[in-house]
Order: sequence, then structure tokens, then C-alpha cells
Amino acid sequence: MQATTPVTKRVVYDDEVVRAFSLATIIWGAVGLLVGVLVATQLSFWQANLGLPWTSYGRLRPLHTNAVIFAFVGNMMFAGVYYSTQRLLKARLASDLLSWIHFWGWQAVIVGAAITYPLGLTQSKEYAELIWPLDLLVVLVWVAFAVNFFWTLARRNERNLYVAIWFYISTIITIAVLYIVNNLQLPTSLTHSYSIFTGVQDALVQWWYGHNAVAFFLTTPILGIMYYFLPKAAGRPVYSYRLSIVHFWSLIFIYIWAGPHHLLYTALPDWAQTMGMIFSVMLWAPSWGGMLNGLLTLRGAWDKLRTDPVIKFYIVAVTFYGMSTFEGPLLSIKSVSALGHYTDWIIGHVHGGALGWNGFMAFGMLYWMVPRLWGTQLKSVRLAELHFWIATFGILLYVVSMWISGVSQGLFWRALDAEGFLKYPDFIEGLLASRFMYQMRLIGGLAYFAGALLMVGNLWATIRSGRKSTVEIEVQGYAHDGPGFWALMRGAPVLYSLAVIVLSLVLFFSGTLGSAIALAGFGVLVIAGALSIGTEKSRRSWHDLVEGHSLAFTVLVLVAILVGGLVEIVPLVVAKKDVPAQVAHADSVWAARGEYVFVQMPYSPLELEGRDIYVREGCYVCHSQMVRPFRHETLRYGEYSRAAEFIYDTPFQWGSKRTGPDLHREGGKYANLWHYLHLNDPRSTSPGSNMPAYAHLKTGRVDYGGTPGKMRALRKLGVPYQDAQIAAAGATARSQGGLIAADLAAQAVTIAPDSELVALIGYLQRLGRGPQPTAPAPAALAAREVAR
Amino acid sequence: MSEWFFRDNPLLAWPLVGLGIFVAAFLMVVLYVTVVLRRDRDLERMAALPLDDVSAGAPEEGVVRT
Repeated sequence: MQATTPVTKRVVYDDEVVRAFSLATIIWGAVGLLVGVLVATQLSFWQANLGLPWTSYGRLRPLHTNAVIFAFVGNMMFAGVYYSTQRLLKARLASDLLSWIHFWGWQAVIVGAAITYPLGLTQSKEYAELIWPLDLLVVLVWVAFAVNFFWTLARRNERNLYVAIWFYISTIITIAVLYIVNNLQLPTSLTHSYSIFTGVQDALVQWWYGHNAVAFFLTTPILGIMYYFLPKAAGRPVYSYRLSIVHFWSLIFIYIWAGPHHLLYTALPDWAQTMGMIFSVMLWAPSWGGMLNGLLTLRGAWDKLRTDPVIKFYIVAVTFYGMSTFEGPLLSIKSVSALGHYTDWIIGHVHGGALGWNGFMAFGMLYWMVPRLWGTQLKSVRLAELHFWIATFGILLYVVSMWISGVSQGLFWRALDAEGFLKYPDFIEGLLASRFMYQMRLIGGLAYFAGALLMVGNLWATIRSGRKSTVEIEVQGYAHDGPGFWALMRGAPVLYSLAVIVLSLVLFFSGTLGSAIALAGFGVLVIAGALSIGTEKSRRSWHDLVEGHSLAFTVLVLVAILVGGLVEIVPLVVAKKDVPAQVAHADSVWAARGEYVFVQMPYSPLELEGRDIYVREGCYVCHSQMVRPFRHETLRYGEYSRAAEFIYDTPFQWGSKRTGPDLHREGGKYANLWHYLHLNDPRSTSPGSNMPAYAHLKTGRVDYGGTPGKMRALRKLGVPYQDAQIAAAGATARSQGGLIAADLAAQAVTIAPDSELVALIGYLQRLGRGPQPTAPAPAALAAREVAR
Repeated sequence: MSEWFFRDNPLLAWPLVGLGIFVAAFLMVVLYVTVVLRRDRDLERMAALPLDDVSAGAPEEGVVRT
């Protein structure tokens, strides 16, 4: 980019794609909230599962979370990003074609999710459940978005990049890194794959992604939207631009580290848990800095709060942002997590963020933007006011009921009597105690949904009363008086970034001497940086150089997010060889002595297929497989879980919520008949349960023709299946299934050995235990021969 | 003390390295913003960028065709 003479240009904004994303936001928002109401109904009234496989809670819950995150907030984000980016850069989006590929591609992903989730096609990683072909589509769409965005940056007519653009850049870069790494998988068919990570690694990578999907999909782009739309609505510049600079850099640097707080007291190494907790607590500062910056932008304009529904929505949204970012670090403190994790408190927390912060920002933005996009006035301000109050009531009722329910559950589970034993040993008692709060949650969700329907009607009437508007402006073309490309690449920010990357690699992959040299290098860099700032009076400042050049800025963002990811994930990958492959039998006498007695063995073919059914039905949505090292947990569930027990688990099934009890030590706890009855009709064995019935598993058949392919894929990932085992997979599975079917037949239950129910029972009976018999014992065979 | 801390696992140094990197970066940004950018008038212009743009449907800003 060499110096050019300023020229006057006419720019016509591409608002057509903004209109399309806005309409998609409105439609998908209503759909996502409707599915939310349905799953909330299912938790209160199990009959709402409708007795159909594709409408069961386990399959619909991912549909709800994905619809709200990627369809509702995602489309809102793209609408806001495209609208504000064009105006902040005074440039039309670079490519109409890419804009429409982005729009229709994203809608195709959403429709794909809406079809595959009810069919049980899932990876079972929360917020990353999409099967691999849809993952590929997401990547392609994201690339189109990124190219279009950065191309527009390159063609801009405004030299400086406003802070909102910074947040958008961080979103595009970080989501790309997170999504690709977390979805590295080995396909076994068009609809099935295995994550290349296993056990503890899989858990860490997933929550590194899961947490940062919240950070960089639900937070940073919405903060960018806040920094643009809040000043617009208030008619005032942001309170402190300096604070926004600190807010941005500290937020993106810290956020990426905090993922392990989802895994406190699990089998994740302690150091990683501690690191996640520390960085989560540190998040308080930048988050509240941003919140205060948003609220104080209204200084001198608070009177608008009385009359303008847009400002009302924004203020409540920013307040919920502050509340959620206070609650998140609070829940990340280990002792608080011990109480709150797996409970409804977490559900209340995420809904405060998704519906309170993201939802209200979306509503405010739509009420502000839609009338302008269609060149008219909002049809009914009073209806928007009504929406505001109904939605505020709804989200407050929702969050408060989940707080009460969650804290009650945490206290209930840990309550011990005077002798030190569980005061409430029956898990179902706690569920029954939460029922009233579940119904309050349903009312809150219904109110929020009703408010959204008011908005749909109001905006539809607004659109019908107006006509699509096209904005044309006259701008002075950006005089590119900055350094050329190569001069920029030799500039301090890029060189410093490269130095940090090289030193980080040396630090991570070298021995003691190399690490010491790298640390010394970091010290030299800091000193050199300080000196260069102090002596750079005559030249452009770092700030000018960085924020005026999107390439340098993007490189710095990449460095900031990669440091956290590398520090967390690389040691765990390196440490894989150190994870012991031997575990003690959960109920053996050797376990009490702390001795390892047998090598961890892979799942049998039947158990492997049963596990896939467990994944398909979304059992992980309500059942964890991670016994934490607390007395009340070991009393209730058995020995606490160890890292070595999960070395062949892909995808990991630790879960994040306990609407039902933990299942890691389920094997051998109940007879096959109990599982048969429970899965067929949960209330027959657990009165009061809200679990859906899985009667369809009795008639479903497992196709063992695909089992060898799955075993071969797992062998590539390190599971030690032998050729003979793979060759005999079908026969072994049928043999083991026959044992379970025979056991049930002895108790007057007739079921096919190759039924899905038998495979699932086989998997459940293996959990927390060593290999189970796959063929009749020799003595039993002999007895059978004698009898014959 | 440090020997005792790192005895179980040398990986325990990682969180400390991470913390150190963050503290250094954070302090640099804060110092830069509060000291170097203290009198940067350009920041005020940048802060007002959202108010400087053209919004569809707002006739006072640019030409709006419907």
C-alpha cells in the first residue's frame, strides 16, 4: 500500500445481505426459543417427549443450544458485523458473491443441524455436535466470511480501525482456530466419525473450544456490536476509548486460557485446573471494564432510558453481561464449582448470558436497525416496550429459579448425616425437589418466547410499512500514507510477534537450556519494546502502526490467542505417554490398597456399538461420567474417576450436567433386567424420573457390518485392537449380546441379541469396570452340553 | 519452597510462565495506553467514528434511496 492521492468516491452500502441476516435472526430466533420452551416442558413433564425417538430430550437439547447460539445469535452477529463494518470503514462489502455464499451457506448449516440432530447424528461434543460433512461446510462458510471481511478491510476508506472492528477480527481468527482444532476427526462413514483426541485430551480440547465459543462467538462480536450500536443509540461516543483498548487486549488474552474451569475436580491434571481458575478470576477485570465502558457511554443521556426501548434493551443487556461475567469467574473458583458444577446453577448462568446479554442486544439492535434498513419508523414503540418488560420478567424468573434449583441440588447431593453417610442417597429425591423450579423456569421461558413473538409481529409490520433503502455516500478515498507491504512486514509489531512465536516454540519444545534462553529472550523483548516506545517520538506510534494496519493487528491477535492455547494443550499432548495405562478394578480389594491390577482394555465390539447408541441418544446431556474426588460422590457413585480410565474414550462422555445420576461406575450396579425395565419405562424402576422412555431401542437393530470399520479407525487413533478381534467383531458382538439376551430370557424377557437395547446394556454394564465376558464361560458351555 | 512445588510435576511451571507472559503483556498495554496515548487527539476522533457514519433511513446522513 503505497502513498496515493486522495480522491472522492461514491460508495453504495450492501445492505441487502444485512436485511437477509436480520430476517434470518428473527425467524431462527423464534425457532430456537420455541425448541427451548419444548425442552423445558420435557424436563417438567416427561410426556412432552412424545414417545418418539427424534423428539426425545437428548436429541432436542443440542438442537435448542445450537439454534440459539449459531442460528439466532450467529445471524444477528453477521447482520451487525456487516452493517457496522461497512459504515465504520466507509466501504461496501468487498464481494457480493462471498456475502451471499456466506448467508446461504450459514442457513444450509442451520437446516443441516435441524435435520441431523433429531436423527441422532451427532459428535456429542457440546456446541460442536455437527457431523463432519457439516463441519466442513462451516469451515467453508467461515472462510468466505473471513475473506470478505479482510478484503473489505483492505479496500476501506477510513484509515483507523474502530475498536468494534478489533473485536470482529479477533472473532474471525479465533473461531477459525478453535473450530478446526476441536473438530479434528477420523470419519468412519458419511455420518459418523471419531475425534482424534481421547479421554482427558479430548475433554480439554473440547472445553477449550466450548468456553471460547462463548468467548469469541457470543461475547467478542457482541461487544463489537455494543461498541458501535450503543453510541449510535445514545448519540454519544464511547465513554473511554483508552479503556476499550485495554478491555480488548486483556479480554482476548485472558479468555483463551479459562477453558479448564469447566473441568474442575475432574481427572484433568491439577495444574491445568488451577490455571483455568486463575485466569477465569482475572477475567473479572476486563469484563467489568467493558461493562462500565458501555454503561457510562450513556452519561448525560440517561433520560433516553425512559422513552427509548432500544436503550432499555441495551442497558439490560450490558447489565446481564456484567452479571454473567461476575458469575462465571465466581463459578470458576474451585470450592464454588464443587457446589455448582453439574447443577442447574450453570443452566441459569448460561441463559443469563445467552438470553440476557446476547438476546437483549439482538432485540435492541433489530429494533434500531430494521426501521433504517427499510427506510421507515418502528411500527409500534409501545409494543416494543411491552416486549422489553415481558422479556425482562421472563429471563429474571428463569435465572432465579435455576439459581435456587442449582444451589439446592448442590447442597442436596453433598448432605451427609451425623455418621458421615449420605443424607439423601436416592438421587431422584433431589430431582423431585427441583420440579417446582423447573415449572417456574418453563413459565419464564414462555414469557421470553412470547416477548420475542411480539417483536416478530412488530418488525413484520414495520417492514411492510417501509421499502428497502439503499444508502449512497460520498467519501474521501483513504490516502494510504502508511508503510508499504514489505515495510510493514519489517515493522516492529510484526517482528515482535514473530519473535514471540519463535521464542514460544523454543520454550515449549526444548530442554532446560533452551527454555532458559527463551525466557531470557522474552525479557530482552520486553526491555527492547519499552525502549523503542520511549525513543519513537519522531515516528508513528505502535498504536497507529498496529490499528491502522489490519495485517499487523491480525498477527498480534493470533499471537495473543495462541499463547494461551499452546500453554494449555501442548503439555497435555506431551504428557499423554505419562498417563498410566493400568487401573485398579473399581470394586476390587486391590483398589483399596492403591495397586493397579490390570491393563485398561478397549471396549468389546458390542460395547463399542452400545457406546455409539449412548452418544446418538444424547445420554451425556443428563448423565455425567466423572466421579469427582469428594466423599459424597464416592459414597453415591463409587471410586473417583482417574485419567487412565478414559484413554480409549473418544469422544469423551464426561458430560456437564446431572439431571440424572453419574454413570461412570454404573457397570455391575444393577442387573441387566433393571436396565431393560429402566430404558423401556424409566418410571417403572425410578418413580418420579423425567427421563424419556427408550422403548424404540428394543426393536432397533445394530448393523455389525460397520463395526470392523469403526475398530480400524480407532486403531489408527491408538486403541490396540488386533486384526483377529476386528475380523471377528460381528461374531463377538452377537455372542456377547446373546449372553445378555439369555440372561433376560431367564427372567421372562424376550429380546433379540442384536437389538440396540442389548448393545446399550452391554455398554452400561462395562462402565467403570474391566472387560466383560463375550462368550459363555467354559463351565457353562460344558453344563449346556450335558443338559443337551 | 520452589523445589517442593515442582517436585511432583515440572509441568507446574507452565501456569506460572503463562501468568508471567500475561502480566508482562497486560502491564505493557496499560502503561502504553495511559502514558503514551495520554495526549493522542486522534483517539477522540476514533471514538466518534460510529457517530460519523451514514445510517440508512437517517436522512441527515448521506443520501438514502428507497
